[in-house]
Amino acid sequence: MPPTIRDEQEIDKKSIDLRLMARLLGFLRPYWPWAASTLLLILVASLARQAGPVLTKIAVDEHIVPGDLDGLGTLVLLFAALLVAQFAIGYAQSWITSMVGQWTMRDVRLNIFTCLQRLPLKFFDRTPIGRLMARNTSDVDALNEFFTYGAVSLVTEAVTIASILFYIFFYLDVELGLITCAFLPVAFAATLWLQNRTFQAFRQARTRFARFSADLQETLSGIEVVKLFNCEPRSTRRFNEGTDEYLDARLVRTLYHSAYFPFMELCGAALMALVLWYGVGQVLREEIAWGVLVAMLQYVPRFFMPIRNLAEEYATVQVAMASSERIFELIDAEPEPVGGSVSHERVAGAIEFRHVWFAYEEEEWVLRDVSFCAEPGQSLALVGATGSGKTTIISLLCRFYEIQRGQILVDGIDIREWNVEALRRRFGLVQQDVFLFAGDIASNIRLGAPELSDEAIAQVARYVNADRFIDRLPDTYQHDVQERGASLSAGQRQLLSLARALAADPDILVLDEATAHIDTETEGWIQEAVEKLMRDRTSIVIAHRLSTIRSADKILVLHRGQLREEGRHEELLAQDGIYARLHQLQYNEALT
Amino acid sequence: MSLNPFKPFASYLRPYRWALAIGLIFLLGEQLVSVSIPLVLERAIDQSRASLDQAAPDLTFLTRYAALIVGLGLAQWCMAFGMRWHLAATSYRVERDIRQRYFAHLLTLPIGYFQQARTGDLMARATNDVEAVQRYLSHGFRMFLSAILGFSFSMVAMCLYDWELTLYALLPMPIMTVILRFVGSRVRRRYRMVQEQFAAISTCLQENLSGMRVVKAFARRRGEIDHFTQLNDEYVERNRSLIYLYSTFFPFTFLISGLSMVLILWLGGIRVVEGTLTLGAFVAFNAYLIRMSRPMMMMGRIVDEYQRAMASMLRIESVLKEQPQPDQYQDDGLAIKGEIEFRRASFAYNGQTVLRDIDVHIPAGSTLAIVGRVGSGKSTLARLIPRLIQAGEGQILIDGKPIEQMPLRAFRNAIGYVPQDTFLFSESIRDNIALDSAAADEVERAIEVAQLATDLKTFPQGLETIVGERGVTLSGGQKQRTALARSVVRQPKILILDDALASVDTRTEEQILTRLRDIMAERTTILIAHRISTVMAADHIIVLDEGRIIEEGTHDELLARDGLYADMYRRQHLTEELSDL
Repeated sequence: MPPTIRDEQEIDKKSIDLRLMARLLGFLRPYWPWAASTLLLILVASLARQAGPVLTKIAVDEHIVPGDLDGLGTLVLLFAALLVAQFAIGYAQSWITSMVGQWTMRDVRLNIFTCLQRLPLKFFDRTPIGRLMARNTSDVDALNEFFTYGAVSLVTEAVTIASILFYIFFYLDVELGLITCAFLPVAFAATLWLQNRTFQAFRQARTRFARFSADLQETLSGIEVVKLFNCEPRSTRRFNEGTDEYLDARLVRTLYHSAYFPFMELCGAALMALVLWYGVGQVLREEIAWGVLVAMLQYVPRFFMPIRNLAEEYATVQVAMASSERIFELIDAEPEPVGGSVSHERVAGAIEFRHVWFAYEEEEWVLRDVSFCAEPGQSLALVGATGSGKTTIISLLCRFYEIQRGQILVDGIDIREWNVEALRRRFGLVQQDVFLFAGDIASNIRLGAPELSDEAIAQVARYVNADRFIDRLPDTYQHDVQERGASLSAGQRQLLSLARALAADPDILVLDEATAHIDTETEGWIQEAVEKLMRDRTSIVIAHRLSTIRSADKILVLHRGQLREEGRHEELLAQDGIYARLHQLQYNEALT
Repeated sequence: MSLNPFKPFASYLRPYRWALAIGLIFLLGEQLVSVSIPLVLERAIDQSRASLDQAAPDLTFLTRYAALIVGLGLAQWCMAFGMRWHLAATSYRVERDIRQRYFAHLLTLPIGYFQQARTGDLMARATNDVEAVQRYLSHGFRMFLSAILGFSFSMVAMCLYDWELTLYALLPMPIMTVILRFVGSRVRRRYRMVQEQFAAISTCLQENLSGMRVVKAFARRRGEIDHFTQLNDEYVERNRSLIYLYSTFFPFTFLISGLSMVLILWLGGIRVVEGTLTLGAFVAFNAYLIRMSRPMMMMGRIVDEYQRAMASMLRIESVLKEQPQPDQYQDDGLAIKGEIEFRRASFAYNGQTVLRDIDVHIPAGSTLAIVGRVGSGKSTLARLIPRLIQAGEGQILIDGKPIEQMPLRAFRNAIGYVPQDTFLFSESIRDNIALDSAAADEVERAIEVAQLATDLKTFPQGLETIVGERGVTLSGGQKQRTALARSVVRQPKILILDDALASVDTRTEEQILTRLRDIMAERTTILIAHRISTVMAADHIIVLDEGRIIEEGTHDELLARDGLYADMYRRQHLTEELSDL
């Protein structure tokens, strides 16, 4: 199966997958000394933070109840010092934890990005960019949440509960400690109940949110169609249904949350009542001191906060788990082959296809037994109706896809023996829809040759006539190409693309001629540039201009994935086959 | 903060005012109950201390107090439940209402609005911004009221015991507020910088993904990774400066509330020893202190949530304030014959004139072709007709009536506009063509005209094939032909093809045009094309250049004029004629 990415924002696992968790925590490995010190600091900070009631106990039992004020001042100073220390430790802990989170997330993002670069084009054909972007925004966000808050908070809250119990058991009273512990199962049972009841609604809410957002996005992108075809009621109905459904899911969750969170307060009140009832008796029986009771009453409200925080963070962890699963799926997707070891700096430019069979999908052949060759310096024109396989041929030549049968050779070497990047550097690809990156004109020309000087860039541009429009731009070569070059015309983009191809100094020109939308003046410049570029290179052109076709050394006529005719313009016309018909049609049109 | 934290949201809250009122009553009750619990503690402890002196103390009062605390806890639970449920449910309902109102309003805005607004931005308002409002209404608002009530109730209770001690206990609080505000404003600023960098990372990624073919073709992998690494590292750097500040928050609030505890321990302890404060009151004091410090800790977050909600509400309101496209005319069975007339129509965009003094008359049922260079104003002219844009000066009349005076929906129903860039919904091909209205056999016929039948046969589900992200990706030509079928199926009186067959190969285009000619006979057609072969059969051809009509007539007349049209014609056919030799 080819790699695909799972749909939707689904969370399908209820429990936390330990294997997944281990892999996720593996991202922490480079920072383990920091992570370890974080754990230590959390422990120390929590112990310092929860020491207050114990100090109160000492104050009550040794000073306040006996009425002995000597030493109370010292104790108070000690308390204050402890507070300052706790501030320092708390700061260090928070800083280190956050930074470890940031470093980890940096690695995760880079890891994803690097893996994406290695994936075959086939993957990108199948996976909409929107979905890949979601991997990198919402899923990475979820992990970010996990590494910077979720994981830390899980540990912190657990340690807080532990340190409160530690103080109660070791400094106050074991029996009161046991009473407190008796509430743990109740609180955790309530938390589990909440998770069980709300999980479904939580999942639904996420899916429904994704759904109505998608609806909205589509309505916005297709707003012209919506308006022209009076689709407003239809869109509104759909959007309202979506948001109503989302509301329902949210309300279910809210109902349970409304019951759960105050329930923790109720637990607090119950524990307080129990402590009071039992504790005062113990005090009167002189089993415990007043201070123990006072300190206990201070711990009670502190005890249930961490539990409800855990409940809140649990959702974060669940989301992170689902997200990490999708991210790992991406990271684990099979990369495109890097190819063999051949990486010549120059090639003569001989191209040969030997009985090439190719299908994007299994057995749906796009190319069937295609064989042809080009001598160094020759120009080939690919001709055929849409869908005849022209674009596929040039994609295969650049090894964007793997062929199923046959061989493709460049300078007599099978392209699978080539290092794939070295191979691609030998080709200068000019695409039909030119893709421009954000940045200036110069950086877009420099794409395949980062080391080229500004003068060299200008020279290249001049050679392909691109200087004629660049010189007219406000900042010439420094002109900012905004929004994929929307401010440039199709023809201008085409010229830029030619400059870009030439800048990389390729041995083989691979050109997909633009079909339409180019004004005559620019058209003339392009034509001239293309002729120059083809002059001393092997070139393979998906030709739409008759001039290109006529001047080609060889025309390959493709029909339904097969190479049906081959030869020069006049020869093919004389054959009176497919080419003649294609040509005839274009000619006849002019007379209707 | 404004005096009334409800005000900006008042109109959305009005339908839920009763739920809101109940929620607020519960909130008040909950705070009253919870403020009384420490009072019970005080009584219980003081009575127990007093009973120490008795020989055989009667401790049944303890059970009573314990039961009272549990009872109060239960009451608090019920009220907190009622409060949370009413407030949160209202907030989610308001969230839904805002979202639906926003969406409905968006659909009434003129197309021009969507061209200058960015989709991502409009999306963000309906998602993140609406959520920020919801979060405030449910959480921030509740916390705000709880904080105010809890704080003042506790303070009153504390003052009843010992107002002087209360003052000491409150001493560190103002410092906290001042410092938190100081840090808070800096945190917000740095946070913005972090967000900006995050946007830069997203843009880089989006570009990289969209241009993957180019990245691969030019073996740019290393360069792209380097670029990304650079942005990624900068992001961590910006976060670092945020974290320096941010990390003070939590430990600092602990420090301040701890200082209050220390003061109470010290000064309160002295008072207990002196006998001016009972031990029970001392315990109650401590309990109140904890209750007071919690809202103080939340204050920073509440203010933050409020500010975000306000900013978000403004962003939403700014869209809601946009004027809808005027459409006040009643639809009284509009029947359009299809005669179109442009009277000195002009159009300017961003101060640049795109069309100037266009005068054209297109009789009903005739075909007008428009040719001209890229940017000459062809599409603009076509887009004026279905009122996608509004002419600045002059008039456009259909059947002798200005188009602004026609009921918009009925008017657009009569027009089939096929744009150059096709938009298809992520639905089945059938739904994309029918769009709610058309019958099955009409769809079939439209498919014939658009030459889609053969393509459909190659799809496993035929007409029911889902297109777009979740389904089959159509080729450019297939998309354009689907869009054509979508217009044809409605049998419009006016058909506008705005370079709509550019991605269709010449042969298929020829077949489509032949089919179209049959149905065009009864319809007014406007044809924009680059291929002269496409337009030469039109009844009337206009040549646009820099927004003006520079030539017009039939194909033969224009050739005879020997102007731009003839020049275009010659250039296009020069190579063909040469190849014929």
